[in-house]
Amino acid sequence: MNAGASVTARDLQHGYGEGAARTPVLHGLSLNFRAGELSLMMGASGSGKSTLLAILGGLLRPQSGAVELLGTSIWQLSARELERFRFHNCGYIFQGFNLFPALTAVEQVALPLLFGGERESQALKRARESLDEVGLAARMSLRPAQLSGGEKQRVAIARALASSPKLLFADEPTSALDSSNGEIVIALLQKIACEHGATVITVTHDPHLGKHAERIIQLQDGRIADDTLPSHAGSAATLISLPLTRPEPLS
Amino acid sequence: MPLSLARATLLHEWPRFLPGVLSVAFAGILMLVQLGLLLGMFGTVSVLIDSSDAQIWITSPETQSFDESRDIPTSLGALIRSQPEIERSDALRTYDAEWRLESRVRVGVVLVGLDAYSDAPSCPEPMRTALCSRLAEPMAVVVDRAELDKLGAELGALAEINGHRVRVAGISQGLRAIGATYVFASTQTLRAISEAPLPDIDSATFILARIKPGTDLEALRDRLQNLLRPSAYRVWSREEFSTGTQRYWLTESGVGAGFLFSSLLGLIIGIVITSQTLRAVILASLREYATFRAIGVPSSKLGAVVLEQSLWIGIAGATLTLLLSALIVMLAHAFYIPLKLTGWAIFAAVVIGIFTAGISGLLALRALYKVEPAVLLR
Repeated sequence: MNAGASVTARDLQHGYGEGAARTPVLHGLSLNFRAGELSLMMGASGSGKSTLLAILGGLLRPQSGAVELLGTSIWQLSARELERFRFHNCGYIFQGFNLFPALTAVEQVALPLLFGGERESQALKRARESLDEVGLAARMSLRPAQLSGGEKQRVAIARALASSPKLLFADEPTSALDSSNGEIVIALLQKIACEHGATVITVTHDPHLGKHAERIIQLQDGRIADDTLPSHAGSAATLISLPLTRPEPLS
Repeated sequence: MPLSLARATLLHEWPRFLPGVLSVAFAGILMLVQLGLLLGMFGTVSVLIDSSDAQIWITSPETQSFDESRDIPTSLGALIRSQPEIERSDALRTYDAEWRLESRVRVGVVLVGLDAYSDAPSCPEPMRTALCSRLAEPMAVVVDRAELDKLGAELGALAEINGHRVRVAGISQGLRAIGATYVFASTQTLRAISEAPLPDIDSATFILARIKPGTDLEALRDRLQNLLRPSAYRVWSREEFSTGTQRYWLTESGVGAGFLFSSLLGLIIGIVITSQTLRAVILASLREYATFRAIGVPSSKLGAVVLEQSLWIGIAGATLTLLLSALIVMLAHAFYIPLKLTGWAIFAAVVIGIFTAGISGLLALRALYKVEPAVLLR
């Protein structure tokens, strides 16, 4: 494992279909991510960014290659072990907010903790703290139908945060939101990386989010086309990013 | 109340679950009403046994059912009266006849000949207060209220049985049977109507007896059976003869098999609709379930949510079954339809309702177990 890296991927190959109909999506892709950073993975449709996120996040088994999360080679775990690993270490945020219509915001956030065996009072307490952190303290008892899109995504983020994950995977978290709500959400993700020391990997094709990221990876046809550290690195003031190749690329 | 995704969803999206609840209730009612009719109808074939005040019944040896006994000698009555436990013995006769009223009604009836006093063991319970003694009047008959329409009769009406004029001297209630229309008369009236050059004037269809309180009925029956030789006569306790008669009708008529078949059909329909209902609910929340799978919540815990939902559907459906069945029973009573529900039948309906829902839940689980969290990233 690369020193200081919380997520390491080596030589990932993946494709869909079989035989002559097989469409390769990832071509021997290697990269790593560090804790405390918000990384954006960008690219056109079909560039392989969502597939890469699914493989990194332990949701899709790559056809070959290895993924180490926090020092654990996840694709060598059994299905049950991988589930447990995800439960204790990973949070996920999806484009659709995926909230149960019947539950209030605080219940949405507390439910995964309850499934994990936590006592209800403790789960609700952590859910409230988590919602407070995303600025929804006043909206806790509302159901999804009573929340705006931005608020729903913040509930989803609170849900992902409640179990204090060290790794956060977000797939197009702002694409269903207007720009101001998108700003709020990406700023939250950056804050999570910064304050919780979490590794936040976000797939997006919204170029405006770049100013919040510590790193931007451009994917093209299943390969890394560009891997840059925007000079602003964490400051929202600078909008121009200098294309820098990462100093220690994996061989 | 603890947080439950199953319950919260049920309450919040109850219209989605309604078809499931209704189909469970439908399957339950179908079974219960059929069973009730079956119990009610086949309960009536033994009505004269059940309502008699005789704990011991003697029939010809091959008899399996009340309506098919051959005649046996009345002298048996004197024989069994020699047993100290026997308080009183009596004879009951049945005779197939034709009832006519004016020129418009012709009905085949079973004439039941009783001893015309209210204390007779053969006198059915509903006739004990007054009607049995009223039969002492020559050519007096009693018919049941539920048969009045069929017989075209009313209290005091004059009719003909096998060409003999009879008068309706009383109307009983609760003595209707399927398969036979009973007309009650005294033994003397029955003899007059049957115009017996009765070679066997001293014969009867059944000999029955009332026993003294505190008698061991089983032991007495066994002793009488030994006394009377099994090859010549059969001695029954009242309950034995009653259930034997009902069982005979149930199996011989094929109605039992029909009941099982249609109940099974109702059950299958209930399971199909309920599992489809639950499946639709799962599919509507598939992305939410997939998110939980991504987080690492095991399928089994999500499956428990679906099973809890199915259990609640079962409970709601069974409750609805009970409420509607109570209503149906009341209606049936108002229209003299023999519908009878016993405690175990109701218990069975509740269990079957919950079972239907449970099986449906298990079938619907397949939709849940197919959820792949990676679908959220495509």
